[in-house]
Amino acid sequence: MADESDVLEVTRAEDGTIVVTGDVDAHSVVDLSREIDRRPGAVILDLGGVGFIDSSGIRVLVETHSRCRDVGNEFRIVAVSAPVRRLFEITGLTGYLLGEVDESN
Amino acid sequence: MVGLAGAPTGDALRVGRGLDPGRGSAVIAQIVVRAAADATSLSPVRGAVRAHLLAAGAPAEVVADLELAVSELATNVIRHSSTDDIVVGLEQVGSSWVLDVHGAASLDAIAPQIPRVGSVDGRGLVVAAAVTDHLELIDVGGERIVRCWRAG
Repeated sequence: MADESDVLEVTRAEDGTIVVTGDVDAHSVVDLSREIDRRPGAVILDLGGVGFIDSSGIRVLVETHSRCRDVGNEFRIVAVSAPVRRLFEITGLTGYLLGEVDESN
Repeated sequence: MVGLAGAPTGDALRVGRGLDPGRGSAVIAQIVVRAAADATSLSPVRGAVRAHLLAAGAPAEVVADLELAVSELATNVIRHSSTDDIVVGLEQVGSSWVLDVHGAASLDAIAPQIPRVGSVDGRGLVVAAAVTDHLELIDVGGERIVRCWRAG
């Protein structure tokens, strides 16, 4: 059962940071992809309000990171929630996506 | 199927009891969740699993882990299977939880390996295996099922 806090909301802060709250899965991640694609250039993400994320979200983050790197755009995640950090650790992507040493791998 | 208190019912999501696990009196609590094999079903399916676990008093860590596992495995069914429905069984057997996700015909074996860092795909089973204690493929009545065991 989904409650209001589960619903994914993707907004753009004044400084261009994409602020994500709610649940990220194979259905809702489309909204995140759309917002990322809406404005070319650097991608700065605030994932501090994400309550749930699965590998569908990881897929979009890895794709976006790779695309930014290929064209020389900045990719940065400025905040992560506990579920996001845990999934990064499980998948061995903490260092890749956050620029931190992943001590779990 | 009958509705489970607190869970959505109707055509979009059906939650009931009665999956025959073949484990007799060891089964303490069980539900079956059935929903259309569409990504819009993922959140309601997770919600039904969460509601059942919380009602049964499962620890928060177990709830979070099984929500993640069912999301990954149901997503695999949607992406790789031709089935019309997602069917999920959840039951408490002694001190463990058993999560069954039906429609895994596309899987020949479960051998999750973390893909290379920049790879886009291939992390669903890795995640499901990481948050459960044991993951196995079983065939029941001609249907292939991914079964997860999680203590708690």
